[in-house]
Amino acid sequence: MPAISRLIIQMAVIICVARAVGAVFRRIRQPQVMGEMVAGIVLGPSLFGLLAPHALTVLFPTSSLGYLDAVSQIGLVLFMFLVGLGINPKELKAQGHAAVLVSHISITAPFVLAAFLALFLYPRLSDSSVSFSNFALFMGAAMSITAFPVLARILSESHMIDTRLGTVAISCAAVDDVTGWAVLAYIIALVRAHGSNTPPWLTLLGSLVFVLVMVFGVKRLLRHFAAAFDRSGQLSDSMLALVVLLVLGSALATEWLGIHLLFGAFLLGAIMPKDPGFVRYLTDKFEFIPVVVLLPTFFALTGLRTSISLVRGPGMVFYCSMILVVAIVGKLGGSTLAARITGSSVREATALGVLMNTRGLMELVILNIGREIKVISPALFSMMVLMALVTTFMTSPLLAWICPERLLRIEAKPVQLRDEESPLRAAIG
Amino acid sequence: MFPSRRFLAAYVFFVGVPLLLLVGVLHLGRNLTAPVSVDGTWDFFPQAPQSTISVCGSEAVFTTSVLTIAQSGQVLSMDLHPLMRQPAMGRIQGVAISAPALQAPARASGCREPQSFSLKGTVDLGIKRLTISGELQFDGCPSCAPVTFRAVRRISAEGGL
Repeated sequence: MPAISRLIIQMAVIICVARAVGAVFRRIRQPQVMGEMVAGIVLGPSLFGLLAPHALTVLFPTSSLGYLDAVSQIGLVLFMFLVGLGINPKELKAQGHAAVLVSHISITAPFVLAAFLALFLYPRLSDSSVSFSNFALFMGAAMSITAFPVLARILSESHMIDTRLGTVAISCAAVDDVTGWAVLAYIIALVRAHGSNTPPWLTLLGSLVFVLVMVFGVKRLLRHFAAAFDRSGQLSDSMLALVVLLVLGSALATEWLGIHLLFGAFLLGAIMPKDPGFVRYLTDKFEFIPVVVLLPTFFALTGLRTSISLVRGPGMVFYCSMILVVAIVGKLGGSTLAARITGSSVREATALGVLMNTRGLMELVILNIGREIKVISPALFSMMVLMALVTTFMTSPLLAWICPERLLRIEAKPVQLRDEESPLRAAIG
Repeated sequence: MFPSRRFLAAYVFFVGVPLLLLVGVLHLGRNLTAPVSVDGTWDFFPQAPQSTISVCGSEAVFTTSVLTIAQSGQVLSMDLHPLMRQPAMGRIQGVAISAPALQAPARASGCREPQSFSLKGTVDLGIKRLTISGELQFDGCPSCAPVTFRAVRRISAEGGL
């Protein structure tokens, strides 16, 4: 079968299954993306391959996955641009010092716990080609990430996006993601330098220069886009094409620098002007194809790489359970503790912890990079994917339990961290 | 607005101290050792260019093949193409590799039914290109002589990327 025919059939199957499973998950009050993630697992060796191994190899032969991967990478580049676009550093600044503290504790707690877990897992699930420090730092970054876009979707669907709790959660998630990606860039630079002639310091220096050029140079030029939008309420096709070119160029630059192309896309999104109307306009223009068509391809590829059969036997199940416990205790527990320290009520603090524990899509992106650079093994990858699914799945029901709708209806401003007298601001700010 | 003393104290205790712990963990972990890396694609050479053994009365032919290993710590997922039906699990302990229940399809073993066989090998660390030396033994055929082999890891797998 010609490669293009196979690719079209693969994408059609993926989109159908993703929409179908997504619809089922929406019925049980889970976000669509959760269903799409599960659809990816369904299409892989863990279920489809188990039921019909021959059909799996016919539909997704190994030789065809390169095309599928290229398509999904383009989708991820555009998606990461949108994630960066949604991040507004001023929002966190507006939350005061307390939110900064909550955010930083919600990173350090899971990060350090994951590093301790790495002491146990490294001799059991890694190999001598990976240094312990890379392994531990990767585990820390993967455990401390929060799914910024999924979180926004859940908050929006729970009508909590405009509450103070929602704003703090979104701001903290943004900081967590930026920190996680920075650590990941460092690890990738070290790992890739190991296999090339370029010393790691040169990669890191080059990356730093690139970031500085983007933040202090390119960012100013990007204001012209917002100005053009202000004048006419839209951007011309040529200007939109220029935005796409900038995204691709930035992605290519970071790939050449030896980190990963997704950083460039993310960074360009992060430095775009943050006028709400402009951000909304760009999101509307860019969202559909990457989110509805290309991301399911990425989920399917993740599912094809995930083999739950590797997590069998008491030992493997125990390691998987430990990963799950550490992930939840570190992120949910750490964020809850941080919010309690800053004086929030138990309900508020727990709700924040539950929200921050959402890993979803961003976790899968990071795990795939870890697998690509061989910092994590196939079994550990599968365990971490399971952890990402469980922690994302538990968010909506837990949030509904902690912040029930009747409470949202009774209270004018539901589950808010107290404003003026909020310890989040008053006690620490 | 400058942060209060309480904020700074909380920050040092809940962020600074864990970061110091992280440094300690990274230092401690440097002494840990993980299993020898055998992950990747290997060129698999039988003892002679075409080794044959008689399993169930028919001649099974072993030619140069490709051995693919996906490693998760001590656990290995091994695929010897085209000799095996599907990937099977093996283990590495020290430098010793073992895979006790590999399945060869009927056409590969020369038999009517799929035959199970085992792989035992040793990783040679001393030379520049990683190699495995070992033997394949068909189960339920004590009279069959083991097929000795040597596998050489392809360079692309050694580079890390």
